[in-house]
Amino acid sequence: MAQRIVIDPVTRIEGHAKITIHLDDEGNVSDARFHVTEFRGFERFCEGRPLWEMAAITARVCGICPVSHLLTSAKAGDAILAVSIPPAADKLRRLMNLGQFIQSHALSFFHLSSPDLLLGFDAPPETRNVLGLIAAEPDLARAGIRLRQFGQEIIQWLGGAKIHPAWAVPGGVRSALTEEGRASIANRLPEARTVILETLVRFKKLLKKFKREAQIFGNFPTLFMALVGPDGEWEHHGGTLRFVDSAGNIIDDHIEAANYKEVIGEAVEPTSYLKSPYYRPFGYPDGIYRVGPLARLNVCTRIGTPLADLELTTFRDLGDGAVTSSFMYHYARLIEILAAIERVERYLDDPDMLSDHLRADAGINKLEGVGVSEAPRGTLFHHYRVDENGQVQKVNLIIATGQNNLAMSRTVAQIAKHYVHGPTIPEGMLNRIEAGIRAFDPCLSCATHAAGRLPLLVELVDARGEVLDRKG
Amino acid sequence: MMPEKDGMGSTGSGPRWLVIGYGNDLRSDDGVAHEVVRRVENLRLADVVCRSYHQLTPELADLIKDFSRVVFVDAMDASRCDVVRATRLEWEGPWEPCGAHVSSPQYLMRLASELYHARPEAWMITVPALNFDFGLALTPTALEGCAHAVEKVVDLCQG
Repeated sequence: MAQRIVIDPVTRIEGHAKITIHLDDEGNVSDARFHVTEFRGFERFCEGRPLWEMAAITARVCGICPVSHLLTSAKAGDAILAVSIPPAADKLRRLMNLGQFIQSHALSFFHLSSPDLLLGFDAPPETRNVLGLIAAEPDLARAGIRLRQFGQEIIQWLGGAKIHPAWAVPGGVRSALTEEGRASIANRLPEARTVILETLVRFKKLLKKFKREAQIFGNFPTLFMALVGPDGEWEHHGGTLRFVDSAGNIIDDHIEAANYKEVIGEAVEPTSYLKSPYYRPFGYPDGIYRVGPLARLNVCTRIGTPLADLELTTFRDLGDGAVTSSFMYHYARLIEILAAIERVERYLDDPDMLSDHLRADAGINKLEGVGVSEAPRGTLFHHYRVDENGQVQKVNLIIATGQNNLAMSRTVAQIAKHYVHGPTIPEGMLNRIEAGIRAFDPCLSCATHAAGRLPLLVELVDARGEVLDRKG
Repeated sequence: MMPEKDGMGSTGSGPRWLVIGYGNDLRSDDGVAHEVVRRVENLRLADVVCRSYHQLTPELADLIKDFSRVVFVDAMDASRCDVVRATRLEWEGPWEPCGAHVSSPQYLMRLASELYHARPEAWMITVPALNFDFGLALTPTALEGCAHAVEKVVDLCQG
């Protein structure tokens, strides 16, 4: 009889999810799904709110990615005001986004994934956690905490709060960096750079140990999408969209944020609150694509800072065209921390950081606007329609985790097919499946913002498609 | 705004207290701890540092390590907590592994202990809360609890 294995909840990710693995008559894996079982509803309850409130409201989508929503929402607001924001405001927003990259990536790597990577996937579950990591690697654990703290402090110096700063607004930002803040960030930069460089060395040594995981943790051809700058360089808060295939060929380029619907479709599956975006020209589900650190490094021609570009060269040697293993999200995340630190260092010498010219004042000049920015987990879209008074009529949010939804399910299936050959499941296999998901660093609070209703129905289906049991 | 720094407000003598209020201040009574912290801060007690957070995050262990006493303040559903309670937190008590961003006081204390060998004495003050819907206003129940919670914090810090 066909069977189903359920992992519920998935641990050390942001939010609540479960995974189901379907077995055929022979006990082999036939299918696997990643389900998101929490519901938020942000798109619906933003309707009717003033545009000016949207940045602060959507920042509340999540306590991990508030800065990403804040900045992207402000960009959608810029589009509706039809303004070009002051250069200083753009740079300050970028500085905050870099702080967000540092803190979010540091949390993902050091706090959530390091127990697997440094203690091993087969370590006893009671010690394979952050306290086990502290016992085994206290210096690294402390360094990770301080690196995240550094990113949070950049955000706090700019926005006044490290979570949910109401700082970016349509037309610009509310305040510049202070001289004291600039000095404090500069003071902590050397430690942050040292930590990430040492961690990169450490991670590259670990790659030899995890050759098998690198082969089976979501290693398959897909498209990759990210923002790039005018010359194809790594970009996180401007530029245009680019898609590459798994061979590294550019298949779509120079797509303006406002035209995202030409290339991105959004499918909805009845089994999950998570939407499944796809590359529209290829259809659903063939248009599967990945976003986030792995995608950004696959899509860009260069990063644009010396140390990160050196690492990018090493990273690219891991693939033939694009790097296709989702295990390498970890490596890409570390390289992006380094890139962010290098860029922060550049900004600190920029006189615009202390500028008073921070905001373009305007009224409602367009009734529709799209903001797009790179969140740590991938490309984030905010699309608003407003009336003449600026009251929001319609909201569409496309979140990084949703865009990785198809790839996460395929990752689960790939790992399960490798390990599951019958009903007995070793702990190490379960954790590898969770770790496969964790490599994407999914943020389910962000991803389940859409209004909708999940039919609370569970079906157990055998290999012939007959429903064996139904509950709901 | 300046991020929190170690030892701010210290006169250099006696135990140094850190008061951490946390909760969602856009969810009505869930934000009552912020009001408690505001009121305690206004009292300008010597050697007491006050902080408010939307949620507890792992790096707060780095802040906690520099204090000898820590008081956490949070709202709790009035059906589970009809009066303001101050509970001593045990170091070896149960803790939940951290999710991506949700930490508990117990988890932070364990982190501070394991990472920095810092073991400040710690208390948890819970304030009865009735309304967790969207809103900025506190219910009379939460406001009443807020006043009592401030008294308890002051008693602890000056006791």
